[in-house]
Amino acid sequence: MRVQIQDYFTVFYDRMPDLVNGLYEHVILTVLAITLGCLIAIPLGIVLTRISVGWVRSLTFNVTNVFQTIPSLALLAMLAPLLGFGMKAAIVALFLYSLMPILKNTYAGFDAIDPDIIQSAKGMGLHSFQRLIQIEFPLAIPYIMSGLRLTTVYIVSWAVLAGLIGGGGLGEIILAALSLNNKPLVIASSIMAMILALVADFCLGKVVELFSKRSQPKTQQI
Amino acid sequence: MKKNLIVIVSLLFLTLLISACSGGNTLTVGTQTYSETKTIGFMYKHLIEDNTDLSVNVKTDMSTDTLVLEGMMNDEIDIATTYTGTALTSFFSMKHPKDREKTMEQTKNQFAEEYNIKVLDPLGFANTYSLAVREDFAKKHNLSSISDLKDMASDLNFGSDTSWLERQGDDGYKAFKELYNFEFGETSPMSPNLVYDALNEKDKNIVLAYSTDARIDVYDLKTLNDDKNFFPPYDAATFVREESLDEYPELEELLNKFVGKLDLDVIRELNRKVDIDGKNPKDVAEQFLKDENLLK
Repeated sequence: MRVQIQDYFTVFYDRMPDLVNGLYEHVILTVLAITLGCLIAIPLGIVLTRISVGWVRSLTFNVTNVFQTIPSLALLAMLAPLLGFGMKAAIVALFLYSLMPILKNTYAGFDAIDPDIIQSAKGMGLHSFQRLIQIEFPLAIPYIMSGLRLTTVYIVSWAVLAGLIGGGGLGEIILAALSLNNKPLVIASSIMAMILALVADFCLGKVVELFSKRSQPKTQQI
Repeated sequence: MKKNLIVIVSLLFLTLLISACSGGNTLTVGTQTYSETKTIGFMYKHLIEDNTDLSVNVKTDMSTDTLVLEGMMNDEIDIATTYTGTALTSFFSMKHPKDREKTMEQTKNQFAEEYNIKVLDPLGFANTYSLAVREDFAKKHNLSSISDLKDMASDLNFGSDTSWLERQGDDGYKAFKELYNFEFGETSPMSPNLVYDALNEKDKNIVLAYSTDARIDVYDLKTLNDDKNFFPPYDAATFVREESLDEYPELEELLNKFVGKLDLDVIRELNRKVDIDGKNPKDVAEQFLKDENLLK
């Protein structure tokens, strides 16, 4: 395909419906994977700080680490025949990748809480569930959120691979454009993915600010 | 941070140094991700190394045909196997999309003129697209040609490779819809290696298959007759950089030994050994050359 400079601009206009649709699917892939990741990894991280059995902890970390090390292409290709060639397999793969960073950061967040604070919370007569919700969780939030931000940026870029197993998203457009040598479309769809990553990072950053403002007075009260 | 940068830069230099040292009398063959290009790539290697002092490095799994050709244009790859129509549409526009010979001729002329790449005569097989369904599905719905799909197409879930749906011009999905006057209910593009499994697992009812793929036989798939002659046959051919030919004139004669040697049956059989029996393309290539008495 012959390309002229203006094609790099007109492609956004010409292909807007496809790009928006790709972006929409990309958001769905990312959001569902991350949400599932949070639902599993955050409670799991909390449970791990509560149990004293060392090997359960190291086993859990090792298992999530292993997920992280499976080459993404291989994981997708292995999951597709099991879960179907489409979004479902892609979401499960991305979810497995999101586990480790969220889990590690949740654990680190709870682990870093000053034992004195917990002692004083006990002294104030809070029982363990109240302590968790009112004291520990707010203190751990900055850690959890920074893990979440990191994961989100990774997952946005990994979600491109969903295009290989019929999972849709911007990857579908990028892969097609690559094999047809349609450079403007490659650039345009990549820019969409980059914007998505930046916007997600920005929004989560704002959420962190919000949480840290809310949790500060509480820590000071103690 | 600064330390990291120094490490990275020095590593880069090291790689450059190493690659510069080994650059002497080495040719590089580039191959795509699918098996026939790899097997043929190793055939080049074995034949050239057997007959000359050159050593040949085979770079496998380059993600697209375009990437392989760009590698040739940047002097990083000397020899590759690709298909007339595929190569043409990536860099030029096809003048006679339905005509096999004229497409071959146009490919030869334009790649020689613009990019100094010589396209040798056809290897003997064409890799065309075809539509494949499961044999039992074909029987149940009484399908033999593409036109038979018309009434049921809107209920079908179609699996394609990553590029065909997006392909503009006379051989893409858009033109297909116009000619056959129907479209599939759902379409999903994926890696071309996975479509056969997607069909076999009943995830898709119909897929875009490559005619050379052995899985069509092994999985008991039926390819539908292209009754309106939509899919043009794209000849596979060897592409060589002219500079490499000038430097090593003996190359052309060697590479020409493959011309016409690989017909559809041969290539499907070779693909079966790699894709189904799990053999290494390198060994399959060597065995083939031995059987054909091309090795000394």
